[in-house]
Amino acid sequence: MNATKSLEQYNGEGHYVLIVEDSPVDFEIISRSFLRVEFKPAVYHCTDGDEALEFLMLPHSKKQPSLILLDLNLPGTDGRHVLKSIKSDKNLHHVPVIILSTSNNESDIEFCFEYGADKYLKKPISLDEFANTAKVIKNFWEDQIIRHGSAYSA
Amino acid sequence: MSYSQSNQSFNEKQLRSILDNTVEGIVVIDSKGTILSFNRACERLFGHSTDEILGKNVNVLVPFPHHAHHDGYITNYLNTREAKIIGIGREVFGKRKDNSQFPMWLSISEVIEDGAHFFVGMIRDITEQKRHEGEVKKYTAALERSNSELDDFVNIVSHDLKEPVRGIYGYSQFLQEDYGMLLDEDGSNKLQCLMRLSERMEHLIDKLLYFSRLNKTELSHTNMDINKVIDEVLVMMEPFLLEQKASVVIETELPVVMCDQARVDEIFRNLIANGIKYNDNIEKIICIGVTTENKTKPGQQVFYVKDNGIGIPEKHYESVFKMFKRLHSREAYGGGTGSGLTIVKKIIGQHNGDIWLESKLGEGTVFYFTLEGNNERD
Repeated sequence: MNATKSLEQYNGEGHYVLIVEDSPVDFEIISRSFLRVEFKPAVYHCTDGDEALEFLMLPHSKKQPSLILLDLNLPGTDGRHVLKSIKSDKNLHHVPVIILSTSNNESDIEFCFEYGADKYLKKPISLDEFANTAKVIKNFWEDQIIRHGSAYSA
Repeated sequence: MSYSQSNQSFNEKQLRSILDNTVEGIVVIDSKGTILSFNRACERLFGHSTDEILGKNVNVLVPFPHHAHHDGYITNYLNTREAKIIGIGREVFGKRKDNSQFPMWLSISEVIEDGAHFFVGMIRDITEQKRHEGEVKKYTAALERSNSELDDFVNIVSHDLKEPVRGIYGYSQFLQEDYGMLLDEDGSNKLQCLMRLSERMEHLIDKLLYFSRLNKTELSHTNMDINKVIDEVLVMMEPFLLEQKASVVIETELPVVMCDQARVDEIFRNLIANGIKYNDNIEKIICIGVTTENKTKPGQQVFYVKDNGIGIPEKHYESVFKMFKRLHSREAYGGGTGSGLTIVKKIIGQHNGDIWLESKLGEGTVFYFTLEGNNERD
């Protein structure tokens, strides 16, 4: 029935995805879609921008995430600001960032690419459609991160 | 007043009287700027009496720091004969006796008579005009701000309204996935209903947002070959046309029109889709063309999109254009939000055109519209 509906929590070892998403529904949609397409990376979940930046900037967190999934509309510190901060930090800017957004706004899309986002994906409402999005992310992961492996652990 | 009969001219006294009583101020100066004549209107405008101003330099009427310019103009003109203001006229500021300033329109002519060289200035107080212009500017700025705030509001509200909708849809899906097998058919149907309703809510919010954006974003103005526009629309609609067994016939050559391509795309797309959706025939046919012989707008280029669909009763000719108004039950004829024609009408309005229809129940409907090209009026 619902064997593992959630993804593995990051335990300090190996590659992992940082998911910055404040909506519990959307986080669950992401998790379920990943599982549907057999994509099961370890995951660290932050529900707001400040929490995410704090986590990323911790001096002792030598293991940076290999991928960041970033929602744009976060409470408090906005996703756009988080993107800017990540991409302007010399220790972080190499980490690929995929934006997940409900916004179709052209100016949002332009902004994200201008500030170095690797992909801008729309968040569909249906699980079926989200499975396609999950596939895109999975392919990106396998292509960019696993294939290029240690390039991203600098 | 009596004229001298021989040549219908006024005598000197009469001429003085005319000069003195014009609505506009008339001031006459020599090439050194000395005031030689100053009429009654000038007295009212500037506050000086003629007696006290005659013989003074015209700079008395010019606010600092424009004195220098003023002297420069005359000198420059006398040397170069290049008119920067003479024979032309422009907006300047005048200085009253009490040192207050006012905006005025000044036009200057040159008079050379019997070896004497004068400059004649006609003055009109434009304080009212400037104040009016200022108000228009303020009003326009306020309107722009208001539009911008409204757009932000709609943006924010849409996002905030959509979130719980996503939640409802999302959890319905999880329920389906995790507990679907525990539900009987009725239970399953209710869950499906829940999902459909939340999807509908999302669409309604999207349409509302789209419609409000139409107000805000500027139209682009390019000369578009409508034949090409329709070709592109048909290419995009190909899968839908195939699935519906619909064919689109372009009956006439279509013109080049000054318009916004993306939006005109939208007009045709909506009208064609409607003609196919609200259609019970096995073979659905849409005819598109343009005519200059339409009874409602004779002589103008009137586009038409004709279908062989179910038709629209006359009493609904107006209401079909209302936002979210449909003539049928929720799921009938492929469903929909009832916003297509509202959006089409809005876009046509932005092009200063009109849209109207004729229909026969059971036979079909024709939508007519004009695109009169973009004026600044929106």
